Amino acid sequence: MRYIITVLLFCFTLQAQGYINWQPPVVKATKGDHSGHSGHGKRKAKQLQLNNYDPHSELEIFYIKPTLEKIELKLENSLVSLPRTGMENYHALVVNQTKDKSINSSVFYKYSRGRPSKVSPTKITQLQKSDLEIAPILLPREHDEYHGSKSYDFEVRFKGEKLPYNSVIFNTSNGTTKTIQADEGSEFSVTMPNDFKNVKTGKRKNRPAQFILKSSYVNEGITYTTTLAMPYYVSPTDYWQSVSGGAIVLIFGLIVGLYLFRNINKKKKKKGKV
Amino acid sequence: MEKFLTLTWFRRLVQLFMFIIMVYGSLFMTTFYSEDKFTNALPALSCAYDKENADYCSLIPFQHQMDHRVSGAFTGDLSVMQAILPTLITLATFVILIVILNKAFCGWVCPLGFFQEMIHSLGDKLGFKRFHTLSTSTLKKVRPIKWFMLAFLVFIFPLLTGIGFLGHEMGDPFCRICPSRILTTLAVGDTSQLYIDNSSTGYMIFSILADLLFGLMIAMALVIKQPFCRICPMLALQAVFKKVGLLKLVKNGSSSCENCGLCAKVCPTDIIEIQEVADKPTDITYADCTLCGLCAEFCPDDDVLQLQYAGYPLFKSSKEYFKKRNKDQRNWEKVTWADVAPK
Repeated sequence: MRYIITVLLFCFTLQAQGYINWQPPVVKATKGDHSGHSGHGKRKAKQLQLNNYDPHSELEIFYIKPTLEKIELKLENSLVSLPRTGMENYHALVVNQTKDKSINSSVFYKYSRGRPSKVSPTKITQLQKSDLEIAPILLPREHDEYHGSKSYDFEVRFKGEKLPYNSVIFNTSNGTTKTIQADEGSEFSVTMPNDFKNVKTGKRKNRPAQFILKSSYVNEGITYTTTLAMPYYVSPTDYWQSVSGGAIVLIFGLIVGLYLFRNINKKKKKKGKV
Repeated sequence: MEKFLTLTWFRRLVQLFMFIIMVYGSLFMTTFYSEDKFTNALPALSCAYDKENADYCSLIPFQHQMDHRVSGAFTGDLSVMQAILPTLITLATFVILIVILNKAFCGWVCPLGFFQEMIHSLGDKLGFKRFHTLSTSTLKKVRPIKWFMLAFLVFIFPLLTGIGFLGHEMGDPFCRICPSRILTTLAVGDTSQLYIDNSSTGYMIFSILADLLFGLMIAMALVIKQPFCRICPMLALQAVFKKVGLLKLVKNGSSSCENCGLCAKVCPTDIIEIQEVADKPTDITYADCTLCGLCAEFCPDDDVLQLQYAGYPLFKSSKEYFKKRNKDQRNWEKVTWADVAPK
């Protein structure tokens, strides 16, 4: 059996900026193990790596189920293993770090398969998980992900309340960086960049990249920072799906259909005359 | 013109209302997420790819459950109970909905059915020469297709994919060619489902088939009544459980049926069997019936055709109604595109 060892390019840690954040760990993958869709209920336990944390600070790490129950987790060698809850839908991995006059947090949303949770993902996005938080207005729906070239809305909240006009820094593991400002409703929109290199034809042949949204806020002498990290994928319509080609085939089908019925009517008329 | 609210006009209003809910419902009733949809097992082609809808079709969970769950029982990844429980839950939801409305989901709720009816009306007004009924030989060939679509595209191919015999593109083959996927996503301004996929030969064939079928369906709907409904696997799946539905089409015998045949002529799926004489009250909700009620509207005899709910008649054919309905139909047919188009 031929194994192809690939090292993931998820090494865009934010050491310089010092923002605590969740990232998939650097892993060795084998051929056939890079499927974006390995089947419902057949997946391995997932690990995530915590970057830029201070080992001497007070760390609170918890995993929130779709039903909003919390499971406390422990960090081992910068890694946490996400427990299997057996519940379908979005879970949130949250870390809150407190040290001196700074409170740092990071959130990572993970879709897990299992029995239906019967709870709207709106509940987990609206739940206050940290003092300062960046939350998606809508997470990608089941069987969907964040895709390049598409826009998504987020909001910044402080202690559960909207935080207007706060600056947000957007980074991707493919090197894109931009600064965005939330509007008066504390919302902002991000168009995921199409910054993938060496894109191969087919969804499952391309690994996702990671994006991080970062924001900070100073209140009563305390500096709050937060990050939201999630994967995003190559958009098929940017590479191997042609919308204009689809429209041409549709019109062709329409013309063929009309032509067929014109001929059938002609034949019917001829038969009628005979 | 005498104002007369026909069953068809009432049905059109319901269809329009349901089209709005089934295509845009998340904007005002549910939300964008699957968990917030009403049932996720609707017996109508309200597509899950349209994220703005209020509910979605049961055929997508069935295909996914075959591919990812039921197959697990064959590969040994899951216990039999784990493998079949989700399918049983979807099936139970589906059957409950069939008990409530039976095959009326096709004639009154399905957005694709409504779209085809509107295209057919447009064809009429544009002056296309329409085929009022398909020939018996054509019907004999067309009718079994929906059963093959149900068996192979909804159950067998996804199951074989999950077991590992077929490629991933066969995991949800019906959705890959379903015209409702293209219609409902285009209706919300999303063009991402109208594409040619170059990622593999299988995906390319499916994507071309889907686009071609959608174009053909529109062309055919201009001249034929309900072209896609005739081969739709949902019609077949509903037919399996039609006996438990509370809403039924019931026929009381009449000696004039053999010489009349109006009911069969107006039937959108050409069920010629409706005109057969029934000696006693008989449930004639055939496999292709969409419970649209057109046959009952155009039956010129009192109480011969009835739409019954749990034995209670909701609509009965009558001489008086037939006269008005016929007049209304003639008035409607007189209106052409030339009358309403700006000169």
